[in-house]
Amino acid sequence: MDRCIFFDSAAQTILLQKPRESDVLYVDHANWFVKIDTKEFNKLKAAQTTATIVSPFSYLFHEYRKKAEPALFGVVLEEQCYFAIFLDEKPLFWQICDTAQDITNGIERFLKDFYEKPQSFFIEKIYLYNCNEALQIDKEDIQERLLLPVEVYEEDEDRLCQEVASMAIDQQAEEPSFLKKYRSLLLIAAATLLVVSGYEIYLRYAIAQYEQKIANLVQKQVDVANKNNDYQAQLMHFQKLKPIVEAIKQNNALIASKIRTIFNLIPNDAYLTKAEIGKNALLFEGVCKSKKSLLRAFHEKMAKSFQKKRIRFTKMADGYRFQAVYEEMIDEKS
Amino acid sequence: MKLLLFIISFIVVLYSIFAFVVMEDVDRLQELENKYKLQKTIASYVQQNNSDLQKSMDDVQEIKAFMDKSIDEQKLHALLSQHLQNITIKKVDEKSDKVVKIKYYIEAMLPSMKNFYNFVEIIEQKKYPLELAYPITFKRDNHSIALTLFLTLYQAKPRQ
Repeated sequence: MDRCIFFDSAAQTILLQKPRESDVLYVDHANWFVKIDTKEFNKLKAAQTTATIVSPFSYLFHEYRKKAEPALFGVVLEEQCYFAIFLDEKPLFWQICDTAQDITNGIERFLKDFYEKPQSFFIEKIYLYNCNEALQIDKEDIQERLLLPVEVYEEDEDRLCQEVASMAIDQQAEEPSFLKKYRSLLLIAAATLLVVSGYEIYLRYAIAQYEQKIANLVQKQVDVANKNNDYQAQLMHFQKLKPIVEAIKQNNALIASKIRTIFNLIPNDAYLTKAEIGKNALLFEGVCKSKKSLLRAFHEKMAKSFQKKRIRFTKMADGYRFQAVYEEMIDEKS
Repeated sequence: MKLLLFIISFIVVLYSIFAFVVMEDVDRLQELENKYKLQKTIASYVQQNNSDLQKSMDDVQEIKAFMDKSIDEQKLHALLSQHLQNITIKKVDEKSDKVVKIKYYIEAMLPSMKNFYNFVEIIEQKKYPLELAYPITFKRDNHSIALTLFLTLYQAKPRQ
């Protein structure tokens, strides 16, 4: 069985309500609590790694329950003396004093302080448990000075402690977890990861957007390029046809103009019965009243444009029938 | 010790995330931005080319109007009927080079020469792909004029 020792330190106090702080070390006695200084406890624990550590007040409470009477309970340890008076399963008054001082004086002062309390009552007996081998408690002296029956038990600390080992402080001790201890650091780390994740999400979103934009642009480009190719093909096709169209327009206009001009040359006293218009040869047949008028208005003007020209008149009752032929047009350039 | 381990682990994790995920994506984004800029330049060039070609297409609209008119013998008859009477159409030749050239011999009656001039004007105004060809003969016949002429119809070859 592991060694059991009392938490012999003034760095402990009794609370009638559960401590509000979450990271404080305490021993729970249902109706009341012993608050332990964590730093001091850890120091002791580091020195006594395998030992069970119990608060001396827990032992006094244990004795109070056994005796079940309104008495003063005290335990004397190497460093400190612990006194407590219990009522209705709760500590009513308690004190810690230095063992180096006179124990009788310590008890006397304790009782004096207790009787000053409004809820105090008459103490009928004193139980003292001495675990300090170096100290001898003078029972007679205490009884004489305080006029109270005193029972002193010279005890082994380990034996007494073992009785209340179930109330060990260790069981209550809770090392603050890593998460609690470095909460702010973890928060910063989490926030950093969150920011990085957010940036990564933004990057992925931006990449997707750009990919979509590029795909649309490429599709548009392909469509426009196809149109351009189509335009190019059409343009090449139409450029080839341009001389043909120009020739059609020019030729039609030329023929119409030629016919109109020739027909306008016919004087008012003559008319045509036949006109045969070829590319290089023209034949006209008709009737006129006056040879002279036809020759001047028509034949002479036509003859200027042709190398071969002839006109023949046949006399009629009231005028002449004529036939004019023009061939081999003179090239104006030559 | 725990704290030191935590800090080192965190730095390693953060560095790994940056080196293998974030930086790769940053590079990819940069690459895409450059690619997008390049594509935009190309698209702008292609679009400019498209505008220039459209302008050039406007210049050949007249040719297109000429060549896009599909005329067969029936349509030709209907067109001639608007100006000439008693029309006879005979197909005399067909050649195919850059375009299809069909030569017709036309016989018709003209109420007056004005009808002939109107016919020629309409061909020009409406851009019919028809070309008058010699010889053209006018012959007085009572109160009308008997007309004979050759007419060449130009048709675009079907595009391949």
